[in-house]
Amino acid sequence: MTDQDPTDPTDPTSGPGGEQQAADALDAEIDALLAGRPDPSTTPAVLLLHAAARTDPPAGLGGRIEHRRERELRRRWRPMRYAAAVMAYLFFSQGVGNLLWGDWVADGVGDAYSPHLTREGGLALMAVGVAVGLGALHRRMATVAAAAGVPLGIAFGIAGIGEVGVFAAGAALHLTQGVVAVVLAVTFWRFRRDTSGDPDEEGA
Amino acid sequence: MTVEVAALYREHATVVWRYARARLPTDADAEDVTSDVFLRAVRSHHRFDPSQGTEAAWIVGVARHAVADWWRRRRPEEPTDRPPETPAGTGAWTDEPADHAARGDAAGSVIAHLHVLSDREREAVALRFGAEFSSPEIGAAMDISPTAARMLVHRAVTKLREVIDRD
Repeated sequence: MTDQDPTDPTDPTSGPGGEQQAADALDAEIDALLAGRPDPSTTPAVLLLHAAARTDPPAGLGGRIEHRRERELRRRWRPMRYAAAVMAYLFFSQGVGNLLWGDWVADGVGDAYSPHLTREGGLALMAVGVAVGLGALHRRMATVAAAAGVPLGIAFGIAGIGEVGVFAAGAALHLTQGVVAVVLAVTFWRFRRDTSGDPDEEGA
Repeated sequence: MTVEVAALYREHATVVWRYARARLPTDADAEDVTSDVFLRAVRSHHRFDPSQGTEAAWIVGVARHAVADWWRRRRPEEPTDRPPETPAGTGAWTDEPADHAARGDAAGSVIAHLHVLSDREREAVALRFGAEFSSPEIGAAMDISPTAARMLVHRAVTKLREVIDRD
């Protein structure tokens, strides 16, 4: 770029066309400067602007941002975490109940008691309870918890409707499982939405 | 696709920081906005479309919104749909002693004169020197032609040169 003032009426390059030429020349000058190949005739104001802009982010800023992100993730995980903990407790305690009081349960719903099936079903429920519980302990296990807990909880909830008026303890347990499964599904969906891409997020 | 905030920061911290610092009054403000930018970016990274431009251009777009929001929060009575005008003397690269010390007296002198620029000129200068955008990229970001972007930067530099020469 020349040192001529593009607004100078005595300058033959002055006026709209001249100003555009000067702007193009300045643009090339800045491109060269940003590429690390400054022209010796680079305007001092450009050199100063370039120098002024070249500050580095404060040390530790990246760590502080990661810390904020971690806090945000934990906050968004919390509701799902509580729902998973309750769901895990319900499945696990149902499994223990099957092992300890399977005959009482069979009697309550009017089924024939099968110790073998009741024992294996109880162990399976305890295993599901553990899987769901992992989602309350580790954020990365949230999907496992939802996949294990939501379909089974909803199925138990639907089954619980049939036990209303038949076996009060069973109806109460299964209806609670159904409600908690819905809560787990909703809190899991919100957690996933908020942590892996929020379509409603503004400003991007 | 999910992306980790640390990876985004490693890749784009300098550009975002320099742009934010160029548009905001203090280092503390620039830190707050830079943090917001990366948190927003990691949440909305699924919106980034490589066919529409580079990731750097996209994240500077996020930064422009964050800066506009920062000014909007500061002056809620002034409705804006773009980065608002910053009042003379309170805009980017303030004439603070700490700034001078950090950047040297010569750079400080040009910083001290930035208040003579209009908001659009300051935005163009921040994108050109802070984010190191090319004129076509500035044009795309500000919704103007590359030629208009070049003219904006040229007028800003001319104004600065005039006030520096006067001093």
